[in-house]
Formats: sequence, structure tokens, C-alpha cells
Amino acid sequence: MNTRQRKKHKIIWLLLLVIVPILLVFTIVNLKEPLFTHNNALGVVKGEAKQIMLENETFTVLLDPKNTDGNLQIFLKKSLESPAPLVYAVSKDMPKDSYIGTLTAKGKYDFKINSTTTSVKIYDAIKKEELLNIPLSWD
Amino acid sequence: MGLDYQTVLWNSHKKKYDLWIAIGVFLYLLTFIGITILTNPETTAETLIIRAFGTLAIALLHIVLLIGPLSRLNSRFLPLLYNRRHLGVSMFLAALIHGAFSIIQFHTLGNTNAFYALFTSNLEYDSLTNFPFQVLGFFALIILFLMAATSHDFWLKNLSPKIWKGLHMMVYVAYAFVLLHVFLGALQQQPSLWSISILSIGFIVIASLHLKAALQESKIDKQTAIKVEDGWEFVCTVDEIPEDRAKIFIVQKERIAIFKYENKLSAISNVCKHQGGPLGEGKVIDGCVTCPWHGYQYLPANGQSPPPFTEKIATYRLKKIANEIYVHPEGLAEGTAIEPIAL
Ligand code: HEM
Ligand code: FES
Repeated sequence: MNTRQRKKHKIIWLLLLVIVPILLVFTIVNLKEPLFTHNNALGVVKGEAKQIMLENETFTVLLDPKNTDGNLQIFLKKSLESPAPLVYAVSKDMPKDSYIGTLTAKGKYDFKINSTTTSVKIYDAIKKEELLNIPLSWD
Repeated sequence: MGLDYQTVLWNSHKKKYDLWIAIGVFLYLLTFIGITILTNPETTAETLIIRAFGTLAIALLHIVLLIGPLSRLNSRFLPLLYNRRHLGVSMFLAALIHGAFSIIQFHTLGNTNAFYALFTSNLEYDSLTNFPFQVLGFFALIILFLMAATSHDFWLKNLSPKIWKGLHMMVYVAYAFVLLHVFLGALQQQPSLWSISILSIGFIVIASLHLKAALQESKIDKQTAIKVEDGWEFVCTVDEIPEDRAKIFIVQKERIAIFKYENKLSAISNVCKHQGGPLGEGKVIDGCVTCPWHGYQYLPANGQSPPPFTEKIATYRLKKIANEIYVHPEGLAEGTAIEPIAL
């Protein structure tokens, strides 16, 4: 490298060293889906029987207030096109939907949700597309 | 600096390095696919390919970015520098497979053009955390493509080393784009402390090595002559230069190299015509100054590459008073012969 290229190289790295960490910290702080799940989505639920909220080829969604692992169960029976769709709890009390987990593969998923949750949304964050919105009835 | 320079038979080593790249890539893919199938057997083949090649590309990018400053800081890494091109092209191919499969998987199912969809499926360009991360990946891929496409020396000559180097320095920007691509994309869907840590440590290591090398170099660039007599600048005494090696000196803000060989002294530009390698850190081999980066050669007395090569670099006039070497800061036209100073 000649002197000019060396200077350019130095300036680029000084800039990157300032800009990149700021942007990365911003993205971490603003992670929509925190490294840990939302606390305000948790809560004690009243009610008794296991109820089927949705049943189709791909999903079975159950509300099971007695289950201690989680009162919401999602059975993913078939792989989805989307690699990792996100699950949100939607509630009128909360301005923002709460992220409760990610469906990574076929299987059973347990979530704990608040009884004020009115629906559960399954969302493809890559395509920015809602895959499913399952209304919940708590009685 | 470069004192443990070795004459390596580069070409017989080149194939070996390529083989190591192939083995490394193969083992990585095998491990990644194996672990994914064991821990997450429902993963679709497309997702597996996208992730295996995406992570392979970013891992290779890290290695590519480490080689430069490492070989600047320690000459033992120079053989890696020599073979960096093939590593870079492999990295581009991995990124291309990842990008192509992503576009097929996520944007060809609708009825809009896939590239149009890539740019328009998420329009939150004014948002930081919802910024369309795939667009960042796309631009990074374009930069990597331009670099891979121009990596052959034919392009280096055609574009001129200055433009070529400028283009290839864009890899730093591509790296920043890729980091944001991952932090705004994959990490937003599946936040993982593990990935955040690896990528952050990677960035800290790469950035600090580049800066360490850069600061070390700018310290050298700031050196000025301690003594000037009638326009001739004092460099050093004769015995400060080891046989067949050079002393690097700064005149008119650019580096020159003063070589001692066969009981003679000659001064040439320090900047190799190939990719700007530091000639003064090379050695005189078979009467020719040999660049430590990829082995281009120049005759010390006229700055010309021996035939059939045609590279030429600037030469500088020297003067010896007693045991002291002086240089005239005004460089002569590239390839101008100057009678070496006899010792
Ligand atoms: C046209 C260009 C690109 C597109 C459309 C694209 C698209 C994507 C998508 C959709 C994801 C998320 C995939 C998932 O969650 O399974 C992703 C993740 C990722 N991308 Fe890219 N990408 C591009 C270029 C690049 C480049 C150039 C690199 C690196 C050199 C890269 C590295 C990664 C990595 C490391 C991940 C995270 C691991 C993974 O999930 O695959 N991408 N990319
Ligand atoms: S920079 Fe490649 S041989 Fe000198």
C-alpha cells in the first residue's frame, strides 16, 4: 500500500470501530424478541378444561389452564415453509404484541400466557407476514 | 521487519493450501449439517442449505479479514496472504449459494419478480431494527461478487492497481453490511447469546488487529529526516543495512527502500507494482529485489522487472559521505537506471 491507501485503510477502520458497535448495540437493545421471553405475557389463568382453539393439517392449538408447563400448547405437525416463525400473544391491555417463542421444528410447544390474551399470532419475520392469527376464548 | 523472510517455493505450496481450503469447507459443511440433523431433524433442506452456507461464508470472511493485519504484524503469516485470493473466491461462492437459495426460498413464491420482492417485501427503510436485512446481504454480495470477478491479475492491470485496491478495500464495508445483515435478520428471529458473542468477539478482534497494524504503519509514515544537507536527506549509516536487505525511509510522504547488495547501494520505491507490497521488507534474491507478498521482482539499479516482465518503479539518487547514506527526495521516472553506490 502507498501512504494514501494506508491512510484510507486507517480511516475506514476508525469509522467502522465507532459505527458498527453502535449499530450492533442498538439492534441488541431493540431485539423485538428479547433473549428471554416477555414477563408480562405470563400470569395465572383461571378455567378448567382443555380446549381446542384450532385444529388443521399443520397445527393443533390447545388452551390447557391446568398444565403447569404452559397453558397454551401448539403442536406443529408439519414443517413450515418459514424457517423460524415467531409466536406472539396479542392482548388489548398491551400496546405491543408480546413475543412468547419461536417454532423451530415439528413438535409440541408449551407457552405460558396471560388470561387477558385475546389471540395468538404466528408470524414470519423474514417475509414480514402473518401466517396465522388464532383467536382464543377463555371460557 | 521481515528479517525471518524465507524463500518459499510458493507454487508447490499453492495447491496444498487450496486442498486445505477444500477440506476445511467440506468438514465445516458436514459438521453443520450433521449437528442440525441430530438436533433439529425437521429442518427442511432449503433452510439447511441457506444456514450452512450463510454461516460458512461469514466464517471464511473472518479468516480472510484476519490474514491481512496478521501478516503485517508477523511475517510468519505471509504464506497465507499469498493464497488469500482463493479463500476469498470460496467465500464469495458460499455467500452466493446462501443468497441464491434465500431468494428462491423467500421471494420466488409470489407473483412479483424475485429481486423486486427482495427490495420491497419489507419497506421499513427508515427503521433501524426493522430495516430490510436481506437488502444489506444483497449489497454485501454485490461487493463480494465484484471482488471475486476482478480477483485475477488481468483485472488488476486493467483497472490499475489504484482502482483495484480501492475496490478491494470495499470488503470492509461488505463485512459491516454482513454483520448488520445477521444482527437485523437471523438474530431478530432467533436471538442467541451465543451468536451475538461470537460475532462481537470476531468484530473486536478483526477491528483491533487492523487498527493496530494501521497505527503502527502511520507511526512509520510520520518519520522525518533528522539531517538535511543541500536537499539531500540523511538516511542511516552503511552498516545499519543488512546484506541483501533494505532500510525503509520516507521522502515526500512516500516510502522508499534503500537496498544493500553485492557491495552496492540502490534506492527504489517501496511500493510494489502488483498490489502495493512493501518491497523494502523483501530480500535481494538472484540479484533482484523480491516482493515479500507474491514474489514480483525488480532490479535494484533501475527499478525494472527482469524480462519478460515489464513492471517499473521509481528510483532514487543516493550519495555516500564517509559512512553516511543520503538520498535525494526527488524520485526519478519509473525504470530510470542509476549507477549504484559502490561500497
Ligand atoms: C442476496 C443476498 C442475501 C440474501 C437474500 C440473504 C438472505 C438471508 C436470510 C433470509 C437469512 C435468514 C435465514 C434463516 O433464518 O434461516 C440470512 C441469514 C444469514 N445470512 Fe444472508 N443473505 C444474503 C447475503 C449474505 C451474505 C453475502 C452473507 C455473508 C457473507 C450472509 C450471511 C448470513 C448469515 C451468517 C446468516 C445467519 C445464519 C443463517 O440463518 O443462515 N448473507 N440471510
Ligand atoms: S504485492 Fe504482490 S508481488 Fe508485490
